[in-house]
Amino acid sequence: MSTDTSSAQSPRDVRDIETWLIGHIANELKREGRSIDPTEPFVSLGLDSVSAVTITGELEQWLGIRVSPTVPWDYPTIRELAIHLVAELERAQ
Amino acid sequence: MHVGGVEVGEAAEALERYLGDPMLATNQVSFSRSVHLDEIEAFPRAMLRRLQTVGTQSHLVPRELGGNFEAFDELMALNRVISRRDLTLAIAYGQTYLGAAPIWVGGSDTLKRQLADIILNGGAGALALTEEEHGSDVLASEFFAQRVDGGFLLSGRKWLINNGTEGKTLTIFARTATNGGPRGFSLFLFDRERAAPSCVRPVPKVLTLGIRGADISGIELERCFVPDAALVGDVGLGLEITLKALQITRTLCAGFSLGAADSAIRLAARFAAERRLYQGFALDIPDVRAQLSEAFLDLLAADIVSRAGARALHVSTEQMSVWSAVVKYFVPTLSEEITRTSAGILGARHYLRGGHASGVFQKLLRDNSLIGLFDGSAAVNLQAIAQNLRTLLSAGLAGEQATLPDRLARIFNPKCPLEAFVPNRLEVFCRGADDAVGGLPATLERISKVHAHDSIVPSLAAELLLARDEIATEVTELHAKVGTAAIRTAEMMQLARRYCALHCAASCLHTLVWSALAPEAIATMPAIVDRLLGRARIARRSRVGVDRDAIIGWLQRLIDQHLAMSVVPFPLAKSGAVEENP
Repeated sequence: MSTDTSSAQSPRDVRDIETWLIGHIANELKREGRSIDPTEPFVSLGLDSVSAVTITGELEQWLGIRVSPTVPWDYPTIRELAIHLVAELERAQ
Repeated sequence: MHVGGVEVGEAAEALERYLGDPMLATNQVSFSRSVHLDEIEAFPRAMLRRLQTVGTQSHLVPRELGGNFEAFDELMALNRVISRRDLTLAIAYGQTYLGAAPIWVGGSDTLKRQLADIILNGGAGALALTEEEHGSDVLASEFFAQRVDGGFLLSGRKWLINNGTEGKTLTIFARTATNGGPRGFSLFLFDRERAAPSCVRPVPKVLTLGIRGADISGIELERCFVPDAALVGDVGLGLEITLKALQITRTLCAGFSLGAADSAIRLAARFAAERRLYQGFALDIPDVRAQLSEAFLDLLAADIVSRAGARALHVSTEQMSVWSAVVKYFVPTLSEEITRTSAGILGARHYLRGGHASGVFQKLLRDNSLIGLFDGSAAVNLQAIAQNLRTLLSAGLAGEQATLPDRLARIFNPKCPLEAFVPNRLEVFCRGADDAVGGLPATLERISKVHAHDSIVPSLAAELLLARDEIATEVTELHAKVGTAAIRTAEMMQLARRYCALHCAASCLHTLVWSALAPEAIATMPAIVDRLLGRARIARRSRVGVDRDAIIGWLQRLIDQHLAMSVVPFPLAKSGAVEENP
């Protein structure tokens, strides 16, 4: 249930997923999307583990692929996670 | 329940026979020996040997590795049988499992076989996780593993480690990336006998309030070589494997609390029934009856939620981060209340270090206060629930709905066969599914069919849903007010306490609906749920008329017939029973 318009469309590339993630994280942290750096680690952005897990659950629903709750541990920035998810999406096709 | 033809309860019942009546001083695991060892602060080495002789160690090792472990409700029952006699012994025994669980969850086949052999030969184990400076903050651990040719060099100090010196093996949590982080730690199975003695320094045992004979010490290593084969799983998986293993052990810890509470009530009830006061028996005093019956109802609640947690490990494995936190917070909390109440009934007797039941009660009371502290303290577990409340109470992320009734039947009917436990299904974090609370609508639907003639059970079920909605509303309001900071507020911790009571009450209702209980258990269930609703809701008036005479009557029959205080009672050693051999 995102207010982000990109969530209604199917994701195409890293940029789509980054936009989606920035929108969600901004909403979670009550911050401006523009102030969020996609190369900054989730932890330094101030995202706690529970919020990160919530986002992986929503990502799973949006993308239609399995997204492990620990995926932010392995890909600790918005950019790294987006690149990983695009690769996963390609693999799933 | 049957797994591979073994009736659960059978192993626990057999262990009762092998250990005999704990009141009989000549048995090796007796109250009088336990109190003596506690007085001299001695490790229960001979008692552990007794457990090894009668085959109890084998239940810590999965069947495919040559052991006898099949199901967690059975292992919990064994833990309970030992714990009702002596928590020092039970904890020393349980530590070996705490050390082994990470290997069962994430170790290679070779490592699993190596550890299985050690445990089956009586080798004790330990989990070396905490450090003096960092406590529960494990990501701050400084103990370091440096990669070298063919293995690692381990350096650092682990402190407050149960079996830290007695353990032949220690499962050590070590930093493998200088900057740490969730992928910056790894686990190693350290075999004391394979290490160069010059690299190993013992850390002395600490003096404690309870379990005085326990070996709560530590270990210090300096550039101690362990081979690559000692690494559990892979580099960087230490935190993930540890958190998953703790979901198992936190659930199993309930066995400690159940055993202690069972003995506390048994000692108090026997005393009250025999004690002559004011031309009557203590048990005739209305307030004594009220307190005893309430303690008994709480023990039955703890019994139900613990068994459900143990069975959920097999069925709703992915949800265990929640179930284990609920069980680990709620059961020790109830047990501490039960033992305090029992102490009140025993009066001055509870304070004596000799005489009545060899003075075991004061030991039990001190020992039991540890359970809520270790393996993730009450606060740590409550915080874990508080963090997840918003997702737990939001619809749409619940467990898979089509198979929900089937899962409920398998979790809550103790006689229903369980599939083998699959460690790979454990998840570090929950995504909001909790079949106990999430299954309430399904059970309510079944109640409307099965309990249609009944008025109290359907109304209690409806009230549980109301309690869930109340908690959900308050969580949403708190979140709207303070945002993500809500998870650290005292209000959210209080809501988490109420959620635990709700999860437990829901478990009771599911057990009533999905299993075939004895008439006494069925008759008592509304009173158990009613008490839990008092914890789940604020300013609630009880709506169940409690038949205290019936409850005390059942309690006394369980005592007289030497049965465990459980909704599924299993036989305990009879009065004066001499320990038997297998």
